[in-house]
Amino acid sequence: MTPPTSDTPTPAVTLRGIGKTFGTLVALNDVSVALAPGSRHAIVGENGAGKSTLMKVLFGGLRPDTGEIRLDDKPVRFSSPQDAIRAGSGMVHQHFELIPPFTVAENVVLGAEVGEAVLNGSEAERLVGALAAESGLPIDPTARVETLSVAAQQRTEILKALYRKARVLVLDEPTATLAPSEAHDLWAAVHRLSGAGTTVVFITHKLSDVMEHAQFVTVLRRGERILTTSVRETSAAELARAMVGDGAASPVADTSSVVSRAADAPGETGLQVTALTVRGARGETLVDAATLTVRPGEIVGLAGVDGSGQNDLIEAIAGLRRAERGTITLNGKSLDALSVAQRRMAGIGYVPEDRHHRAMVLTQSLEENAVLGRHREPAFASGGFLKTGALKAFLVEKAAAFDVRGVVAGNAARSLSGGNQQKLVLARELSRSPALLLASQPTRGLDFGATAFVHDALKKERDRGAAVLVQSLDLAEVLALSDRVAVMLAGKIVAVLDKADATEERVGALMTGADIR
Amino acid sequence: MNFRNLLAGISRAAIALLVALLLGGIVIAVAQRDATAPIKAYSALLAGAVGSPQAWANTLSRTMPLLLTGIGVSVALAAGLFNIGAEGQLAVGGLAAATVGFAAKGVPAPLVLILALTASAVGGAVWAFLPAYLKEKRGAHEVITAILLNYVAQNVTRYLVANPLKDPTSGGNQRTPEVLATLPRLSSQYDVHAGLIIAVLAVVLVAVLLARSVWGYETRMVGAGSGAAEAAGIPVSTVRIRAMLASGALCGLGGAVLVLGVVPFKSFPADFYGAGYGFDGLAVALLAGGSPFGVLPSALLFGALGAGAEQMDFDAGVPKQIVAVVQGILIVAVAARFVLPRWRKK
Ligand SMILES: Nc1ncnc2c1ncn2[C@@H]1O[C@H](COP(=O)(O)OP(=O)(O)OP(=O)(O)O)[C@@H](O)[C@H]1O
Ligand SMILES: [Mg+2]
Repeated sequence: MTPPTSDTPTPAVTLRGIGKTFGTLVALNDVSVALAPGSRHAIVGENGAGKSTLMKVLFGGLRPDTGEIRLDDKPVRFSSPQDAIRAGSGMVHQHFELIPPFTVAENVVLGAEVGEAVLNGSEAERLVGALAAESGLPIDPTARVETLSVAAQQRTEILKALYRKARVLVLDEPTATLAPSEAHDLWAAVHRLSGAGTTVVFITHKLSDVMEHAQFVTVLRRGERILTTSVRETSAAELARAMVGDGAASPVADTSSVVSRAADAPGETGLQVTALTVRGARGETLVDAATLTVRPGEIVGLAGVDGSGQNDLIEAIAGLRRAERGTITLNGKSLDALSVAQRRMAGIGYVPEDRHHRAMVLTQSLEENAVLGRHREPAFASGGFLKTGALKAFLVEKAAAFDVRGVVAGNAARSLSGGNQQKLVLARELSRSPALLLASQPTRGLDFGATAFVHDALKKERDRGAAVLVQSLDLAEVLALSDRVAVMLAGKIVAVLDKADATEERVGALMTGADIR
Repeated sequence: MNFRNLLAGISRAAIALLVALLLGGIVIAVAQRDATAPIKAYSALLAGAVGSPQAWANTLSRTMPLLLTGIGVSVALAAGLFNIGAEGQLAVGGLAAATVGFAAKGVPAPLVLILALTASAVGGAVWAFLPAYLKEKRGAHEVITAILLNYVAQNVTRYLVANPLKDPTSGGNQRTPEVLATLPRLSSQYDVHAGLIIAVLAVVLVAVLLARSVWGYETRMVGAGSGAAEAAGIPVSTVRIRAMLASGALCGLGGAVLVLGVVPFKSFPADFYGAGYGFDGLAVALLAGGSPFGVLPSALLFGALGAGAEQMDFDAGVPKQIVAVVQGILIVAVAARFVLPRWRKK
């Protein structure tokens, strides 16, 4: 066991010799980490390295096969998250665990009132409001969770842990779903909390976040701890090397070779969206008279702050949202009257933003998820029955081609780590050689190797002649990938820029409406 | 479902059963003011359920319709729907089978049976279609509409049997005329008939279809992840309606195997409704934890408890309603395991 530094006081948390296997898969092997009280500790590693698993052990969600956990140097044994929270360890998951119809205050106090008098509503709201103000996590305690942005839901999760007096806070990929400004606020809160004595552990794929916001960092690789060090004594390059092992890759995807192939296929017009208006359930305008062309052989990136209508536009093209006005055509063929299935037949491939509700069915098997949407094709079904062998063969083939780790045929989709789930979805959608590829946040939760891989894959699709429409909250990603950039603001497409004109300043200004001309 | 899951499911159900019997025993002891009463009651229950060939015959006769309603409810569950209308669908299916069964004069016996079975499936499916359709097209909750339709089924079958479909010779004991053909008996001595085979085959067939067929795949995908299914182009509404139709058809068949059997009727009595087999089917499916093959042991257990209850009432003087209490506790114990983890994962 290696403590972060020799002069630290008694660690707030010590994980010693932690091992965990799932069937034949070794998720964690003899991992030891010590966390200094009040420190900010980052855990990094490739997709499937065991980061989430290690954190689940720490907050009591998983029981390790071997090893021990010590809090304040006292051995503890958690058999449930409730045990862990009682001991002072709280976790904010990669995917939130809130009850959507309940208010923020209800979600925060729910379950914590056991043993005390049950709080009445207004008292809970007052307490939660005070806690929010004190910890720098602004939120309306009376708002219902289902109406909140992702960032606000995340603040609710953190408040839930703080309300239970968590001294150790675990954040699993906290910025993966946040817009840059929201991420900035979150980091401010993290610094404030650690300043006040809370130990914060976070998992991230962004090494810049590690260098800026962590004091210590632990690298996991294929279930083993490779190194734990003070951030001051390392560099992003060293961490990257440790993460991938020998034959280190560059942490930055090579995007220098972006060459537009647009207009190489004159007969095909690609995607044409004309004056498209989409409304939400409550009649609010989500997409406002959007007009956009994506030609075969080009990547168009949609930039915008979260909730500017990018995802709604993509869902409307995929057929998941009804357009109130406007038309959509693909290679000259109108999609307006077509169902989702018919649009897929017409050549649309779709990588949804919400992996767990749109892309995969977590409780069903990996091979069944691998063919979701293609399951009626003769390759996978005949005579009304699925060809089980063909499904498994397809899964294994795609897992190898896309480096999806942890795949065991027959296991439920939820057994894959978040990043590996994403890779499988991508493999599935690209396997259809779509004429139009729609991708929402395609690299969310991916490690940098996988991110580079996905970027390459998208470019290959483009070079093959597909029209590619990508949406990402990460502006750098949009700029790196796109041949043209469409900027959305409040549902409108406010500008479409060629790559050469799409500078970070220009697009950033357009995104926020600061660019009034 | 792999082997480990199955074992876990069985041990969970076994623990739930033990807890339920224990709590039921306490209820019996308190109600009878006698600490030994539970032992007497349960030995009578055991004897009545499996203690003799006759007891087995009673258990199996009760198991038969429960297999069909249990698997019917399971199909709906797989699609993410709660078919609380099983009772009404069984009643409608049963009456349809009885009507075809007595009206098909001059038709060869095997054909009468086939027609009657088909009629029951169609009747049950029609009754299930309404809540499914109203849910998909109008957003009406299937549980509410199905409960309302249960009342309608109860009263409509009663009215029809008391009036146009009444056997004039049945007197105050209103019922339909006797069917022209009955399902062949499996034993000359005991009242067990081919309906049991039909029921077991139906469970196996549906379980295999759910696991392996394109229909079953789409049903499960919609049930476990409708958003992802929709994005993949699976017609979610159609799949749900199809599942509900299948569910209703199976529950309707449950009515037919009763009516076409040697026991207990050969006709449809006015006050029959679904004789509780539909509601018990919900319990059977829940106890099976959503596993189609799990319906086999689960229905058998409920059949045994039902048969044993009669004996317990008779021998030990413990009201048979106590078994309903045990069944209730059983469901709560299982549902707690079934519902709570899902809630936590939200
Ligand atoms: N319940 C499970 N059953 C089987 N395998 C599992 C289960 N949970 C995790 N694993 C496997 O354990 C390994 C580690 O998973 P984990 O979720 O900890 O990865 P991670 O480092 O968080 O990755 P990511 O960055 O993609 O989120 C993976 O190979 C995963 O497939
Ligand atoms: Mg993870």
